[in-house]
Amino acid sequence: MLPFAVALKSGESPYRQIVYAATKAVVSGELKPGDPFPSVRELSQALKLNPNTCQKVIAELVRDGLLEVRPGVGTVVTAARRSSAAERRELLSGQVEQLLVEAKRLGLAEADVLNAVAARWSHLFGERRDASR
Amino acid sequence: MIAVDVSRLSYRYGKVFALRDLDLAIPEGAFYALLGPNGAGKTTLLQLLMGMRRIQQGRVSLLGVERSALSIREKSTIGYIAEGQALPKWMRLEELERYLSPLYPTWDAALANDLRERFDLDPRRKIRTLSRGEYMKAALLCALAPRPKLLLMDEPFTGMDVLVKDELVRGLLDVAGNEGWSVVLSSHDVGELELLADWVGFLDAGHMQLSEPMEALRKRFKRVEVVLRDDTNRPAATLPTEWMSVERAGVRVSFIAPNFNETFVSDVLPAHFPDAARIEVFEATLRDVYLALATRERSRARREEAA
Repeated sequence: MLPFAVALKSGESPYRQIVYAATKAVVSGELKPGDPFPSVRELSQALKLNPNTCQKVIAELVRDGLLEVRPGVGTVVTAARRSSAAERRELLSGQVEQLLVEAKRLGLAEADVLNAVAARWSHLFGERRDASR
Repeated sequence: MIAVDVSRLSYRYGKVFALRDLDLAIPEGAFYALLGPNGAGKTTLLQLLMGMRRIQQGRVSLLGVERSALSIREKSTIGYIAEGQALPKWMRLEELERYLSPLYPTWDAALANDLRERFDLDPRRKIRTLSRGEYMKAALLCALAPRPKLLLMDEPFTGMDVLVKDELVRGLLDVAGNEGWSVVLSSHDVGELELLADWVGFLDAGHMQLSEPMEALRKRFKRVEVVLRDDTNRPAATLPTEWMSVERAGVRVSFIAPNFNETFVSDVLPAHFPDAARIEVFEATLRDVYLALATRERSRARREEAA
């Protein structure tokens, strides 16, 4: 069994599904800094997934700063790192704009979107305040 | 390095061409799913790779060496499981291992032990007493023990129950996958190949209809669903012929696009569906792609026959 929830769906890149599932587990605190992350072999066996793909997943998570490879220990979850101003801008203006345009197209009101965001945030992350802020 | 290099391979049975000018290049370390309908030529291709059939036309190289020039040692690094692999029924598993190991300079007895334990096979049992699943596990053990750099398997999971398939897949991934050996697995059942394979090829009508990394296939094949604003009768003839599995029902149109890219959403779709109420793009599953390609080929064959 894996230390984070992932159920691979057909018709979607397994690579992206796992990267997302792992990212979600890290940001929601399910996986904490210092927790060991499954090896390529463990991912491959647990998900019956090609080890090359598993290797790419881990490489991506390392690149994103969620995991680090500690010599003699293996791959572990890293402590939260500061995001760059560019990353924050891309998310808070870029992706938010996409969401709002889509919401408007579907005829939703500002309140609908804000309520949905608040509900989802508390579902995923609970009432906890992010300690690093 | 290219593990399997095939160039302009043609093979006919009498007047009928099973393979026609087939080109194929499988990179080292790939887990290659060779898909195709029954009778498409997969077994013929694998037999030609293994030197079991004479090459009538074309060239075959394995692990960088021309097929006819492979040394004994090089050959022992190429493993093969035939469709319905015939193992000597009267032998016990341990006798079969003792029989095979001197034929392979690279035979790894420790690996054979590991696999036997992993697959829970009693070495003293006669092969004729093994169930279908145990039989395939024994075949896989014998194919993996010589530590092949290239393993060719013809329909190894066909007809296996879920539990056995699960064990075979994990065994294969654990050994071949983690060692970086090249694996070619032919199947007419898409099944779990979507997760196992990182390369996929589709053999139909004698040649490779496609052969590419799984990720590339995912990027370019999309299932598109369009909801039109009204029931305007758009004749099917105006839609691009490369779109496959085109279906229409009332205001809904769906199809598989094989050439998806950024301009598809911004230019191509609006151009063909200016009056769409909604357009959704999904990743096509391997099954979707397989069905689309096989169906297209059937239609093409029927049209040629009629002409």
